[in-house]
Amino acid sequence: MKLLLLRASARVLWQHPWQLALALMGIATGVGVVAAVQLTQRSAQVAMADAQRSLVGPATHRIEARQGWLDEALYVRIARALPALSLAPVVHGAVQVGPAAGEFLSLVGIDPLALSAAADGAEEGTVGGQWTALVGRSDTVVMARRTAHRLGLRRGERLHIRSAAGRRSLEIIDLLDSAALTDTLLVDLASAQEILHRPGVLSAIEVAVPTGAAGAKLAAQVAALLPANAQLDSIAGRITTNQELTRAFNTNLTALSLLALMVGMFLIYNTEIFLLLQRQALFAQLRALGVSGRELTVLLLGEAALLGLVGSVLGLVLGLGLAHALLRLVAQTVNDLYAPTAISAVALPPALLCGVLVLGILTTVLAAALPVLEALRSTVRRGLVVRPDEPHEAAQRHSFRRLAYAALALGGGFLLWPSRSLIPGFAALWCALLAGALLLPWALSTVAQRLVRALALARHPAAGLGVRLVARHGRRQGLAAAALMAASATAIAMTIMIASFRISVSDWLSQLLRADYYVGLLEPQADALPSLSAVRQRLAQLPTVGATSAVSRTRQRAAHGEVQVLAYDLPRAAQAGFRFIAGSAQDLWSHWERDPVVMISEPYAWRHGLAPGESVQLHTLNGLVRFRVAAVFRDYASEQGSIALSRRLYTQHFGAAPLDGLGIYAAPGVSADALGESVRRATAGLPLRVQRTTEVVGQSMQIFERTFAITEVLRLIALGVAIIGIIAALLAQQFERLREYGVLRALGFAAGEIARVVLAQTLLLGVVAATCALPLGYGLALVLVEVINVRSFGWTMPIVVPWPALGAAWLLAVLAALSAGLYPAWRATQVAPAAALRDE
Amino acid sequence: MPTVIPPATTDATPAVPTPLVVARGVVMRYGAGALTTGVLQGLNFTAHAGEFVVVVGRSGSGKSTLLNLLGGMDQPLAGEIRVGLARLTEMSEEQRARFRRRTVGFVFQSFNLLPTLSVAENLALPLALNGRASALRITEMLARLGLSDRAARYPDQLSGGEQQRVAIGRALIHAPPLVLADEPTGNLDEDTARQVLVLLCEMVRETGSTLIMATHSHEPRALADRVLRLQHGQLRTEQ
Amino acid sequence: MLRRRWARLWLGLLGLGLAGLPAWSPPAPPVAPDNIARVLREDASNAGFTRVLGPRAFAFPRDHAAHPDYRHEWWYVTGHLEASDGTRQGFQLTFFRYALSPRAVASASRWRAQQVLLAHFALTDEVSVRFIHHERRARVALGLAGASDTVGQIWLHDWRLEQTGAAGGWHLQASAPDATLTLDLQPRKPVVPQGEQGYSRKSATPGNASFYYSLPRLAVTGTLQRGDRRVSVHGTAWLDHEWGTSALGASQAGWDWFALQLHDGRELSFYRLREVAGSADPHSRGVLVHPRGEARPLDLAALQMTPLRWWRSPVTGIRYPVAWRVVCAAEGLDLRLEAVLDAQEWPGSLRYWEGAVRVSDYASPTQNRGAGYLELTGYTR
Repeated sequence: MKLLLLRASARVLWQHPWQLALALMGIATGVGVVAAVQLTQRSAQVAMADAQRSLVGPATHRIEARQGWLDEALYVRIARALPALSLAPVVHGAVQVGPAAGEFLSLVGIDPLALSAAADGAEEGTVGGQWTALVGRSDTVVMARRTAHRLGLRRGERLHIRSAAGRRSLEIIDLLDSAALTDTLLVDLASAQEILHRPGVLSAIEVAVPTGAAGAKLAAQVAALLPANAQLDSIAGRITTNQELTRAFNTNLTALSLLALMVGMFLIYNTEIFLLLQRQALFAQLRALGVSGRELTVLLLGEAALLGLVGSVLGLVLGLGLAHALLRLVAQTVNDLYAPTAISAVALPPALLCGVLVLGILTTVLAAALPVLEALRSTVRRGLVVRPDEPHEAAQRHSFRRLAYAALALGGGFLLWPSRSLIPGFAALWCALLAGALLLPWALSTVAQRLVRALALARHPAAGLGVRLVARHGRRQGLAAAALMAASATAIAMTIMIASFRISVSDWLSQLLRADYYVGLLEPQADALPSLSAVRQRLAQLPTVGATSAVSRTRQRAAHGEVQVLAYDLPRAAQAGFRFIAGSAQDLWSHWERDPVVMISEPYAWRHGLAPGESVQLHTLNGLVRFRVAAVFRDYASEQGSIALSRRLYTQHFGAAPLDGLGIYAAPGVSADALGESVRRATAGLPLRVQRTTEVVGQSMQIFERTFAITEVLRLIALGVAIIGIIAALLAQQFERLREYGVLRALGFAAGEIARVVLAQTLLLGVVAATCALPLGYGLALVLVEVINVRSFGWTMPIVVPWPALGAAWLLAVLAALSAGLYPAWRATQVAPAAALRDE
Repeated sequence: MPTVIPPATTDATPAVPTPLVVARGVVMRYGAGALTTGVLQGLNFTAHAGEFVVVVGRSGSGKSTLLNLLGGMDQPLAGEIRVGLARLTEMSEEQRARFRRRTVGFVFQSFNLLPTLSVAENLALPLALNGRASALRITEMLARLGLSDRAARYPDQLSGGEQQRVAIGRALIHAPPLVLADEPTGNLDEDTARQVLVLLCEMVRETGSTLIMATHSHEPRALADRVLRLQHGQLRTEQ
Repeated sequence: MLRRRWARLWLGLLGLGLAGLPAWSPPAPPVAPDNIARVLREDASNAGFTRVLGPRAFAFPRDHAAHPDYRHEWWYVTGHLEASDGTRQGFQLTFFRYALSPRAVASASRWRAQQVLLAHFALTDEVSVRFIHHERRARVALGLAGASDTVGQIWLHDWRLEQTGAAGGWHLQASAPDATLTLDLQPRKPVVPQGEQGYSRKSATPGNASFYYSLPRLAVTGTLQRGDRRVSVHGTAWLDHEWGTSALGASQAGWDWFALQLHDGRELSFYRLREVAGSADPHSRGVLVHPRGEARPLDLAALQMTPLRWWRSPVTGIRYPVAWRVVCAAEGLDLRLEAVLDAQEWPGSLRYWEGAVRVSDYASPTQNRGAGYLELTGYTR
């Protein structure tokens, strides 16, 4: 009996393969997007953790100078005091390769004999037997295969370099396939010291301590041996920080993916409904025969589960492909900014795959539950399938509205909840979306009613009929419209947020960067004191240069952990570039050089709850010193926040710091081009980067755009899913309405008019959805900017509404809806009236 | 019309000039092979203005097919059909649709009202199609149908008989010269069927339309001017 | 530079969060394990080093020190200890010196090294049958590791082997997280030159040779610290010192070596050079030292050794012969050497098997005749 039931109902499906395909596609798309986002996240996480681990090797800690270099005598001291400890010294700098104006590559000097991983007999020798050549000779180098290829060199050939010590050539004794070595030259430590002309100093010492209490004790012993200007940092600690930041990103992505799932769920709901409606007559007859409601339910839900399984598997495959594409975007961004990451593989953790499958099946069954109930309650009466919802539809709309208001209230509650966590923010977003989705059917029917009054059937038969169809039968179309609205609103919210962000950042940059040119070190390695300062002195003497500004970036210990401290030497022109959120500029600048005042960046103020008038404590050479916070400045450069003070004050309390960047101002009457020329000439041959302000701003904005590329993609995907949903909904409807279109044809509606009926419906849906998306999107953007951004990063920004972009979004939604109606409209015209009206 | 008892011939054409509907040598088939239905083989048919013709025949004999062809909803495989001045077999789909909206009114067995429109709106459709808005006509029609109090109801809120009455109203509200009824009482009980039938005949006479009805039941036969039997794909006169 | 700064901004934005990570340096790539044969074989890079072409008189204490003009050199101490708590240990401390270039290279960098040192420290606990081994590597620079070329003094961080003034005695010290050994060694017999008065030829090619001598019996006292338990130990040790520039010929794979201290006061040592094909090379040599110190040279005619039992290492997959029959008819010896523990392999950067062995009569294995160390080199998978 069960089998017969199955066959009976399944045969109907088989007879309409396109509808089955549509159902599967709906499930697959929804599941696919979720899977893609999860896979991307997971793969990115795994790859980055791997990259970090491989970057870092077995070292657990790193000793570095707070500024400048480490004395190699420190290494000897530690090695003598703690002979059992694994120590690895490192020297790095930059050299020029190739012809005179050639590019700079990083140079890293290591001791291959230390911290080696050849522990248990694995035959993999990356440097292999070549280590003797690396250590024994001063003219050997190992590099990444890709870099060598780029430079047109092979193993055994010589690489010509120029460095502080002059020209020399190095023999390439080995090429490695390591992403960590991209654009890097690996040499012996002695060679590095020789090439960089830096005998006696190290850049860092890496330490490997065992885990547990013994390791902690060792670490403490190491720390006790360090001089004042050296610090011991745990590498694991840094990785944890990164993981936290990654978590914020992941929350974002997950939220977006859940939106996609919601849209996918709607798709599934729709296709389920129409799959069931196809067989309504069959079910009614079965019920008449005596099949119990429970049996039928079980059968239908089981069928839904099976469909969900197949669709989910398809979705996983789809998701894999999508993940590859997404990963490439992520990898590109990370690669741009942090070269050594090969995120090419997509990690497939089985737990994740199972989870997605289960999610897909559950969603399908859930989405099918409601239609199943509906299908069971309806009866076939006099040839017209009667759904008991018609009289209740108004009541249902009413209850939807009440739910919507409740959701809005809940969302408001979340927003008002005093917290620093992101979760209430996201919850508020969801409540807003839900409220919007619940209110849409009401909005739709209201608009439709008005239009019904305006469009008399007599004068506008096609459009009038279309509008009446929407007004009367709004619920399922309302859902389709809701999905479109949600996707459009999310897109609008992101557009507003990104636009606000973009304008804020670009404004901030242009205001802050007042100099004409900026000079920085090629390597993040802090150089010894004379270098950039000497450059500054030399440049200051040029006739084309009016003034120079300088900054040093250091890390110091505050009362509660480390903080980035910026030591600024600012001419008046540069001072005007800072924008203050709190505190008075006058107060700040008047005390700037003389008194212990600092300005703190906005994220720092947010994170530590500081305001002007309060103070921060920093560990200086003279112990713990209190600095008064005079102002809070806007700063998007670091989300951890920083403290800025004048160079003079810094030197007084922390000692001299090497410069990390210079700003060059043109003398009055000198053009920026002339200034650039003279600066470049004066700094030729040095490992410096000289950039015009516009270049800097341009590059930053470029990176900004690329960063948000991922969000763009996801947005488009969500929109695409919504469009598919609408097409599915309309197609489903159209199959229900075959008979009606037949009647219309019989009544004498021409094909074009029938198409207009369909398109009128979709146009109405589209316009209402797109229009409702505007205020909803704005509300979402408000939450994003005022709550989520602030709590994630501590950044505030004014909201800027890019009207043209919004107009485009509106148009896109309307066009999407309209184009979604094209196929159904065409199908409707193809209905052969005779066939449709044949009584079974 | 005087009833004539002619001998059983294949030619069912009475000797009256300018018939409204003329069909000659119509050949039609649906499906293929063993599933062939609705077969018409070289059928000839005429009907005059104002006539009430009943077509009887077994299920599957092709009655609905014939009506569909006469209404221009389908094209025959061979033969020609003319309604008034319109040569249906030479017209395109669009032209036939336009022809239909002016010239034909359909009544179906399963009512086929648009479920999402109210009674009044269903009635308004044909008028709207013809570009004639008239609330007055609708009100009149509702009164004629005895459904004035049902104007705002929806089809699923009406009984079968009421629905069919609305369908009749819809078919006649634009006073078409030709009314095609396909088993109009098939889904109704005896009493209601009779009421509906009476209503239909009366209204058709009021508008002077030609009524061609395909039916099983006996009642219409008594009221008809002519009864034809569709057998083996051709029409024969019957009494 | 500025680009990196803005770059970090956007990274932080997305929470990709590598912004916090400062300049990195790639980890030292792993140093691949070397086949001993390869290290010792003749190759073009040996040019410039002094070769061992013929015997020369040893001069002590100078010759205890390093000979930096030769390519490779090692000091090899093995021995057996009895602890005051009844445990018995075999121990090994080896310092390998490898010269990167024949002459010191002038450089402003104090890291520029001409020599590298590799040291191996192993303990075989004969009672609990456990083998612990530790390796250290360092370049001879900054005073952290070195081998004096005037006196016998070799050190790598806190592992030391050095001559004490007292009558040719040595002091040895090696520490590891799980064991620290401090020993004083006193030679009980004079220096025994190996090969032809110290000229140990390995193959027909001139230059494939080393200078080689042994101190076959040293009395040992000292302490062994395991965790927080310290025990005093005493026993006997054997010291080998060998140096040269290319030792093995192209057709030679490695050697099997043992040094035994018999209960009857004799010592026996032999190195059986092994061809790649597996057969013994006629240049194999050894020495038997009588109780009063006379040394009798041995060759393949005088001593035959046959492997009795093989063991495959689960770590490297290499098969080693860990039990041997040693027959020296002229001295009336038919001995069975049995590894105290099969798994005494060095799987790291220099691969070989070196372990404590028990010496017994071949005919009656329960009859313990002494103790020794066995070394198997040049075996591959």
